[in-house]
Order: sequence, then structure tokens, then C-alpha cells
Amino acid sequence: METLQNLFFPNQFIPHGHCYLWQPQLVWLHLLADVMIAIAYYSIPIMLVHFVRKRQDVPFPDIFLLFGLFITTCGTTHLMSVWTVWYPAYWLSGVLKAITAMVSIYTALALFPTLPAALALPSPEKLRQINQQLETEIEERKQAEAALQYQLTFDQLVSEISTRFINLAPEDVGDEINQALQTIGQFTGVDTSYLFQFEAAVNTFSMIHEWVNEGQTPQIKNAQNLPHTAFPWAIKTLRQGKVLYVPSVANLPLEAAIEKTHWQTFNLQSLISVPLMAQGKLLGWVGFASFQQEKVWSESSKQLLRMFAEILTRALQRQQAELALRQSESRLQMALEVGKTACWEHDLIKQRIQGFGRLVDGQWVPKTWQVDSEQAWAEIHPEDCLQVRQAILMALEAKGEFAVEHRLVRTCCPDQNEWVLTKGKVLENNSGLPTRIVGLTVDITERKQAEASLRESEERWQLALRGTNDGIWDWNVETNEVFYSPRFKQMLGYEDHEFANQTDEWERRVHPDDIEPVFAAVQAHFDQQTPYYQTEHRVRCKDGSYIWILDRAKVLRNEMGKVIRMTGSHTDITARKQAEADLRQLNQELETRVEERTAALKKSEQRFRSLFESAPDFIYVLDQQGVIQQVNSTVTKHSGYTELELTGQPLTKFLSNRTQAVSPQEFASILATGSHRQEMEFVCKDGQILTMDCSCTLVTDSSSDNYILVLQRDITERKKTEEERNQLLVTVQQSEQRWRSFLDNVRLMVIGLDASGYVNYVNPHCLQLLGYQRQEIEGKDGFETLLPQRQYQQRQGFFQSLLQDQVPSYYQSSVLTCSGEEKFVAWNTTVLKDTQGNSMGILSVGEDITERYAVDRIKDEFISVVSHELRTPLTSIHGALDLLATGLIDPQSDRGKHVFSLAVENSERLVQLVNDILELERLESAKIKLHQTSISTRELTQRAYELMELMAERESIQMEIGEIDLLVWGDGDRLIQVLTNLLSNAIKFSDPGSTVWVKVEEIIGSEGKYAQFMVKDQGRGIPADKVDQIFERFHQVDASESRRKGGTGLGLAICRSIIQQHNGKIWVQSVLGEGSCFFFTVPRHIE
Amino acid sequence: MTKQVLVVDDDDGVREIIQLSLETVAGWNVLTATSGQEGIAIAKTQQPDLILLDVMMPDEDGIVVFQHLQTDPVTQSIPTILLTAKAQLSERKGFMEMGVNGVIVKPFQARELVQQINQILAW
Repeated sequence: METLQNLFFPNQFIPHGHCYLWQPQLVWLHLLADVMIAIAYYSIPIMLVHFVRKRQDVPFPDIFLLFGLFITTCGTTHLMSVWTVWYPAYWLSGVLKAITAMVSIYTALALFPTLPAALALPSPEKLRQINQQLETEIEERKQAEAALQYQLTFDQLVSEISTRFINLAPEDVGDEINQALQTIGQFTGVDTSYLFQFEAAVNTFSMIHEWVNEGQTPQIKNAQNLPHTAFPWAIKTLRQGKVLYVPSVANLPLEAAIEKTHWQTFNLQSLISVPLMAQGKLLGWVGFASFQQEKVWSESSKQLLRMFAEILTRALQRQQAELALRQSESRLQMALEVGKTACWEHDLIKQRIQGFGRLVDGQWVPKTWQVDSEQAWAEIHPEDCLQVRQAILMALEAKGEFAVEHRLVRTCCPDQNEWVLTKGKVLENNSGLPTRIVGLTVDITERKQAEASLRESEERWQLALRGTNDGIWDWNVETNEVFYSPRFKQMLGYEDHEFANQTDEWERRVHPDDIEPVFAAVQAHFDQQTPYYQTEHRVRCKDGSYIWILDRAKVLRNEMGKVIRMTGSHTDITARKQAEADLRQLNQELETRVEERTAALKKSEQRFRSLFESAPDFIYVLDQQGVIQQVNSTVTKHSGYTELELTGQPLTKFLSNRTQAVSPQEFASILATGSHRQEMEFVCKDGQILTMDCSCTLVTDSSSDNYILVLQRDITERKKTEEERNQLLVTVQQSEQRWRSFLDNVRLMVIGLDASGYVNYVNPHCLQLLGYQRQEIEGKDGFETLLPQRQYQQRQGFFQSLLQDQVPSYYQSSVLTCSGEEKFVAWNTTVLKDTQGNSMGILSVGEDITERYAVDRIKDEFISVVSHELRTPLTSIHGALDLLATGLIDPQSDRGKHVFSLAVENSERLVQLVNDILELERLESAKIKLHQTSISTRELTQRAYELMELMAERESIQMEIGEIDLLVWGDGDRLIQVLTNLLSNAIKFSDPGSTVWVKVEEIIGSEGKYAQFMVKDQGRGIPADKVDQIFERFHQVDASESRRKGGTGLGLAICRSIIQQHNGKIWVQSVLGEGSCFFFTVPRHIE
Repeated sequence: MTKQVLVVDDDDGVREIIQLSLETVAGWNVLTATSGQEGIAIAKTQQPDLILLDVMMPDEDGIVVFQHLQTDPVTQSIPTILLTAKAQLSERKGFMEMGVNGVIVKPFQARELVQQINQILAW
């Protein structure tokens, strides 16, 4: 008790109210809040427990209870807060809080595993969806049940209908179909149901049964004999055995446009049609249609409709079969009664035969009969009995049927037979043994006769076919089968087996351009617009080529007029067609040519007319008497006469008297030769005389229509011009003559070149100078012929420049003579131009300056040599004196003295040279006159010897003088000068110890006697190539050596000059290395 | 280095005067040849710095000798000056067109000769 007292009312703590300072508002605020929380906390667990108890399906009930406990403890802690305001039972309050804490922790822990499961619980939205789905399923199930019920009822109805058709009499089938259509239509809720039947023979459809709902109009009358093309899309579907289901007519596809239009005319909304098929062929269809609304047909309903259609199919087939059977029976009865036919039954057990219809005395009698088998065999032609027996035995063995054609013997006239076809079928008893044969015997005598005729006809036909070489075809229009004869195929290059007997085999080979006319021709013949079919068309062969075919045929019609066959032939007309094409082309070409010729003739006529009228010449047409028949306008225009004044008058009337005098001869000439030309004088009306160039031609059109065509051209002006020109020509010719004469005689070279450089003129002097004949040079390339090779190219360019006036016309060049000699010519050239100023070529006048050129060259060379010979010693003198004068070398020194001596030596040489030059010049210019006297050669040689003796001794040369002495006519000093010069040379160029001979002898020349001097040495000799030049000025063999030995190079030249002035000759004979021998001659003095 | 000059002239006097002139005025070393053949032989062996070549010589004139020197790789680069008594300008021009370095016309003075050589060869 005390413990409880301490627990609830402790006194060791201060009540919580002190913390609130016992402020009444604050205390009341906490008090009321805690109490209300506590009340709320205690009420929630009560509701939770109640909920858990009421909703046993609620998951996780423990969690709810734990929440209740947790909330209760929480409420208690709030109540304890109220208690502690006044009583400080904090221990109790703490304990309660600890309990609350433990409960809350436990609850939280328990929540962890529960949370995923709680999250997985469906949401209210999901629960609502599930509910809705369930409701939908329930609704669908109900619909399915209703549909099932509908289907069961439908099924039952179809079964009942099926039952009603069992064993139904054919005549009742129609009513029953009507009833069935109504039953199904009403059950399915459609507005109409109907049955269409297909008439294969005419390819049409007709409605044969119909039911319509109340308020609807029957359409059966409008739906009769509809062509199969009326509903192409629908019929196509039905022919395939498919159900045609149109849930909405409005939504039909484009290919069903025809059906859509038709059905919308009748306000059809939807329809279904089920085909009636038998052996894959469409017999018709049963249909159900709605006008008010679109009708939906389930698959099961469609299946039931298919069953219904099957029932109807069988019913109709059976009805048709039974009706056909009845008709057949009826026809058989009728046939037996009216035809030549018997039916019979052979009892194999009793060997009796009974039947209806028999041949009696050649006539078929419609009556019942009975005979034994032996009797029956007797009526069969003996020759055929074996064949009949074999047929029957084979049928018995096979337990099948037989058919045999044989003859029956006429009892009245045994030689006449009746052909029959006997057909029989073996019947068995229950044990399988053959007991009876039932059969039919038909008279086929007429057929046999027809066959015989046909065979005969066929044979004739085959014979004809073979004869015509045509291909044959036979088209069965009803079956669309066609027969092509082997020849037909062979014509196209095919073997028999390569070409099928089908119409399209032929059709696809016909040329595309021909197929339409062919079909049109066939159709025309089918429509009886033509008595027979005939076309010409191209057919493609096996090799791809086309042949032309003449296709002829005629149709065969049945009694109704319907075409049942068409038979025809193919004739190869390719060759004919080609010939026709060739002929056509030929005709066309001919026509074209005729047209062209006609046009050309017209054009020619037109041209001639315009030529005739507009010609500038006078044109007359005369008859054979010369009378003017026709004139052109030029005549009237220029003559002053009118056409009337001219025509009908002889042409001669208008000619001058001078011309008239020769006119008869002219006409005679025209008529004899056919043409004539002459100048005439035409007198104009005003008296003016025109000179005419007249051309007359005899024109022969036909023998009786000859005329003379006269063309006169006014040549008055031309004549005048010609006269002036002739005058001018004479002037020109005279001028030309003068020039020609000048050119031919001038002592200058004249040569003309055309623009290509070819020689077109050369004057005689030029030819003479060059040594050519005219024909050797004229027409030749002037540069190639006349110019040295080295100048050829250069001169070609020069020539072109010359033609273009680009270079001076005066120049010098070398030309080659015929012998190859080169001549130097100074040319003066004129460029020749035509009237337009174009260069036509050149005319060159040349002067032969070869000699002058040579002289100039020699002079230049001489000056050059003299210059050299003079300048050489001058160089030494000048140089030496310069060295001494400038002090470069001391004159007193040895070198200076040597240099000085050089100057002196060369001065002497220069003096000698100048003297020689002057002497030679004087000799050659004949300024020195010879003092010729009679003088002894002995004296001359002796004096020379004496003069040269010292020099010879110095050079150790021995001289020998000859003994002969002759008198010569000459200048003694000059001849001694010659001898000393020759001796001096001989001594200078001879080795020491050698001998020099001087000899004289007399020789006789063409002009008298001469003394021939000879100076011979044993020196080095003269090279052969210098022998001829040795007497020229400065032509020493060795100038240096000669100079060194004091020679000037003029000594021999002076010798020659002296001897020549004595009318003598000087020459040398020399052998190199052996010595030289100089000769000169001087005329003898004859006393 | 002392220049070496080859003088080719058939005339003894001229040859001697040229030698004296070049030696005394310019102090060059002078080689001499009396003919073209001898000149070619000396030029090949000595390869002088200059050849003074007389034009008008017997046997082989100076033109032939010059052409020979030009064809020989050893001598073709040696400067050559022709000495001639032919004073006409056209002749001198023709010599220059052959490729010689210069033409000196006879007669000449010693200083003038050296001066012309120096001018031609830019010595």
C-alpha cells in the first residue's frame, strides 16, 4: 500500500504544475490537450479492433492489433502527463513511457516484414479495373451463351430442314426450299433470302427461290437470266467455293464497284452468299441480305449456312437427277416406240431372251417378244457371230459391259443386212454368278451408210489435201477443241507433237497487227455477214520468222443456227505477198519516177520559157524556109520591131545586104549539117546595124515538125572592144619584141624566176656564160640549179624576202656554170607583180664580175702580203729603236748594240724590199725600157759567174759554166740580173760542197730559135705544189728561210717579168731533195 | 708570280724585239717558237699564261695554229693574242670572231705592246 502510495503519490518530487507556475491558463491548456489526445488515442484502438473483428478478410490483423496497443499506451502516457501536473509520480510516468516504447519498437519491427506484402496489395483503382473486367467477362459470357443458344437453335433448324428434304419427291423440293429459306431468313433476322441457279449452257444465273420479309418487295422476276458478267467480283469468289460475305456494302473494295452499284440500288446494307458446289463446279448460291441494317455473321453461322447450302445442293441435284431420269425413261420409251431400237434381257440360266422392239421383215416393230438364244443367234449375220460371242464372253469374264456392232439378217431378204449396235451389261446374282445380261440393240444402218459415205468423203478430202499442199484446221466451237493437220504445223516449221491442238497455239502466233482483223473476220462470218471466212495474215514460225497465210474457212451450224464447227485451210502465200510487195514497191518507184520526170519536165518547160523570154540574146524560131515563127521579147525590145512586124517575115529581110548575100549558103549549111554559126549584121528599125554572133540549129521534133532555132548575140560592143584590144596587142607585141630583142642581145645575164623560184626565162648571154642549153635550165628550180650548195638555203629565204620587197634589189652572189665553175655575179632584180599587186616572180639582170672579183681579191691579197712584208721589218726596226730610245735598253750595252744591229739589218731588208717592189712595178708597167742588143751568152754567163763567185766561195759552192756560146737579142744587164738572181737562189738553198751548173743551148720554138739558159743546183728542191707559184710575188717556198737568207720574195717575179719582156719563157723543174733546174729562153739574134 | 708568255713568230727580228720588250717592260718570262708546230709543242709542255701568235707564217699560219690549240684540252684555255701586219678592220674583226682574246697590229712599241696585253687580259 505504501508502495502504491509512493508510486502514485510520491512526495519526494515537485509536481509538474510548478513548472507551469501554476498558471491556470497554462495548466488548463496542457490539461485539456492531454485529455483530448488520450480520449482520441483510446477511441482509435477500439475502432481498429472492431474493424479487424468485422473484416476477417483484411490481411495483417496482428498489425492492426499492435497499432491499437501502441496507440493505447501512447494515450496512457498523455493521461499520466495530466496526473503529474498535480502529483509527481514520475517513476510511474517513466515506467509507462518505457512500456510505450517497447510496444512501439515491437510494432515497428513487425511492420518491416509486412511492408512488401502490404505494398503488393491491389490499389482501389486496380480493384475497380479488375471489377470492370470481371463485369465485361460476365457480359461476354452471357453473349457467348446467347450466341451458343442461337447457334444451337440454328443448328437444330438446319437439322430439321435437312430431315425434311429426305425422301422428298422432286416436285416438292421447290416448296421445301422456299420454306427453308423463310425459316432461316426469319431466324437470322435478315430481310430476304434467295437461291440462284447457274445455267451452264447459257452462262447465266437466275433466281429460282426467294423469301422476303414483310414490307419488302420480291425481286425474283428481275433476277432472271443474268449474265455471268453481271457480278464479276462476286461470281469469281463464289466460283472458288468461298463464302461471299459482305458485312457492309458501302465498304466494298474498288474491284467490286459493279456489285456495289447494283446492290446499293436495292438499298442492300449487307449480304452473305454461300456457293452451291458440285464436283468443283458452281451450281448456284443461296443468299441472305439485310436492307435495314448491317448484319454480322459469325463463323459458326457461316458454317451452318454452308451446311444449309449443301442440303440445298443435294436436293437440287437429286431433283435434277430424278427429273432427268424420268425424262430419260420417257425418252427411252418414246425411242423404243418410234426408233429402230430394241431392249432385251438374256436369261443365262434358261437361255431365253425377252425384249421389246424387234426387226421383223426389215421393219422395226414395237412389241414385246421372247425367243431362245439359239434363235437369236440365228438372226445375227454369220460373219459377225464370232465377234459378238467374243464380246459377250469378255463381258462375262469381266462381269462388265460390252458393245459390239454387227449385222442382223433380214428374214425377208437374206442378202440385205441391217447394221445394229448391241450393248449389254452382265448382271450377277447374290452369289456373284452372272445370271442375266440386259441390253439394247439399236439400228445403226443409216449411220453405217453415213460413215461409209463419210469415209469415202474423208478419203477424197485427204486426197485433196495432199494435192493442195495446204494446212487444214478444224475447230469444234462447242468444246473449243481444234485439229491442226500435220501439214498445217509443218508449214510453220513444227513437228506434229510440238504444236498442241489448242486455239491459243494458233492465236498467239498470229502477228499482233493482224489479230484484230482476223477476229473481226471470224466474227463477221459467225454473224453471217460473210458467206465464208477469208483473211490474209502473218503467222510466226518456229524460227521466229513470219509467213503470210491465206486463211479460208466456213462454219458449220446446227439446226438452231448456232455455230458448232469451223473448218478451214492455211495456204502459204508468202511468196505471192513478197512478189506483191516487190510489185508494189516497183509501181511506187515507177510512179515516183514518173512524178519526178513530170515535175522535171514542167520545171524544164518553165525554165525554158523563162530562159526564152528573159535571155539577153535574140532568139527566133524559123520554119525550114527561114520565115520567123516566134521571137523572144529581147528581139522586139532592142530591134524596135513589134512581134507582129517580125513574125511571118523571112529573117533575111532584117539583115544587112552584106549578110543577105551569104544567107542562102547558111540555110543550106543548116539543113545539111543541123547547125551553123556565123556573124551577121542585123538592121534595126531605126537603121542601126548590130553585129550579131548568130548560132542556128536545126531542131527535129518529128519528121513533119522541124524548125530552126536562131540565137543572135549582140557583139557590136565586143567587136569594138576586140578591135581596140587587137590594136593594143600589136603595140604590146611590138614592145615585147623590142624587149625580147634587147634581152636576147644584151651582154648581161637576164634570168626570170616565178614565185616558186623556177626559171621561166633566161637570155642567150646568160646561157652562154653558164654553159647551159635553154631546156636544161628553164622550168628548173633556179636556186637548186644555179647556186652553190652552201648558198642554197640562205638564198631561198632571201628570195622570199625579195618577193616581199623587204631587201634591196641589188646584191652579189655566186652562180654555178654547167661545168661546175663558180662565177660571181652582181644582180639587179625587179619583182614582177600582177594587176592586183601580187608578186609573180622576179627578173634579174646580172653582170659577170668574176674576173673583176678575182683581180680585187688578188689585189687585196697582194696588199695584205706587201703590208706584212713591209710591216715585219718595220716591227723590228720600230721595236728596236723604241727600246733604245726610251732607255729600256742601254744603247752602249751589248744588248743595246745587238738591238741596234737588228734595226739596221731590217732597215736594209726594208730598203731592198722597197727597191724590188718598185722595180717589179716598173717592169710590169713597162716603165723600164730594155736596151736590147746582140749579145753573147758566153759573155752573159761569164759576167754572172764573176758576180756570184764570191758568194759561192763563201757558201762553199762550186759553179760550172757551159761552153756553148750563142748570140741572143736582149738587154744584157737585165739578163745578167736574171742569171745572178737564179744563181743566188741556187747558192742560198744548196748545201756546202755541192755544184751549181749554168748551161746554154739552142732550141727551136714555134716562133724561131731561142737560147735556152739552164741554172741547175743540188739543193733541197721545190715541193711540187709550189712549182707553179714560185714565180709569183712573195711566193717563196719558205718565206722565213728566204727572209733569213736575205730574200724579199720578189726575185723570181722580177726574173719572169724580164724574160717575158724579152719574149722568152721561164720555168723550173725540180725534184724535192735532189735539186732544182731553172730554165729561161731568150730569142736568138739572127744576123 | 711572274707571267710566262710564249711568242710564236717566224721572223727572228720580230720575235727578239717582242721578247726584249716583254722582259724589259713587264718583266715577264718569255718563251719563243719559230713556227706553229714548235709553238704548239711548247704550249702543251709549258702551258704559258699567254700566247702571242703571229698570223702570217709559212707552213701553218697563226689561224691554223690557234684552231689546233683550241681543239687540245691542255691548251684550249690558254689566252691567245694574234700579232698581225694586216691592218684592215674587217680582218681583225674576223680574227676576233674566231675566239682569240685580242689582236695586236704590227708594228708596235714595247710599252704599247705590254699595255695592250694588260688591257686585253686585264692583268
